[in-house]
Amino acid sequence: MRRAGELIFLDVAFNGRWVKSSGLRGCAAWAVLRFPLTFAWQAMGHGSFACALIEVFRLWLRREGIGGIELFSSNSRFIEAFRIAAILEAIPVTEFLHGISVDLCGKYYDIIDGFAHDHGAELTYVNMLPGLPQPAAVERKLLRENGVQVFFRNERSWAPRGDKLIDLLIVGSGILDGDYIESDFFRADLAAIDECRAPGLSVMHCPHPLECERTMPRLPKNTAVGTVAEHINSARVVVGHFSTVIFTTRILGHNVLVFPGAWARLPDSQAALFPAPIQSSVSWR
Amino acid sequence: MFDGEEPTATDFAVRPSRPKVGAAAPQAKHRLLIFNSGRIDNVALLAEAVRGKDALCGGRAS
Repeated sequence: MRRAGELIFLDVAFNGRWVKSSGLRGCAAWAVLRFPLTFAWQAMGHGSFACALIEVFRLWLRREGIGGIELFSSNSRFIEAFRIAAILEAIPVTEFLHGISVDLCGKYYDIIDGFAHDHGAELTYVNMLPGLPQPAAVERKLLRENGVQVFFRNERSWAPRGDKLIDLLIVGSGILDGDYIESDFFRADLAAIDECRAPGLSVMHCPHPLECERTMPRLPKNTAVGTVAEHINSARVVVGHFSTVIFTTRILGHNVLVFPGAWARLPDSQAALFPAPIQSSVSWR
Repeated sequence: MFDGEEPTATDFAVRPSRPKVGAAAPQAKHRLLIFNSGRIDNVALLAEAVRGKDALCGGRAS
């Protein structure tokens, strides 16, 4: 029996060598098995796995006596099904943001906002860094104290500036709508490495965590590779496309360049961190 | 479904519990924390973050 007001932890990280599973997938499977008739009825009625899953999540939330959802991860199908189930149950949802959003996510947050309003569910967001631009629907509901944004940043601390400085640190990106390795973004990374190494500048590539394994074997021979946390404070200049690191380093006062191909993808609120008169001067070329 | 033990940075796990069939719904409201242990530095900070947020929200339900 749980004590009153307990915190229940649900890990969405995949584990298992042969079968990719996570706490959230396990919860979904459990909810479907626990309420098979509801699941089957909803699936037949709506013809949608997602609708049926949301309905069994609602039952699970009621049965477990859940009075609040705290999201430290978001934007996966299972998590969003949980968020929607909570909103339908008028359960408050807080999201501790872990980065920036693309325009597409901004539109989604608009929809969620209206949906929560209709169902009387309270939404709160906690920014990852004060001033990190967020979609309008999120900005309106950022947690503030005395008018100042409250933030929660659960990243590995950045190491202090080292003795040996890196002339250019390239922050690898992840892209939602394609394959990063086949993208113009990665081609620009490779060109920048060659261009800077030719006159003898020191360059380091920091692959996106989700692309690390695929990126490393495709980099030019002898390219230095490292992690952002370990090396970013030792970089004279940071360059990248679309990565939260680009914006956090900019806010924290580093010298940041943005590849030209990225500007078209940046939501206005994020591009605004680089005022228009100087956008061309902070572009790569 | 899961025990509510607060995980620590070095030792955390989400363990399944087995609610009794037909058991009454708990009266107290619990909070569900959804996180990705592969994308954060310190799991133990999550509960602190929630408590800090609660304090700032003046003891609101969420």
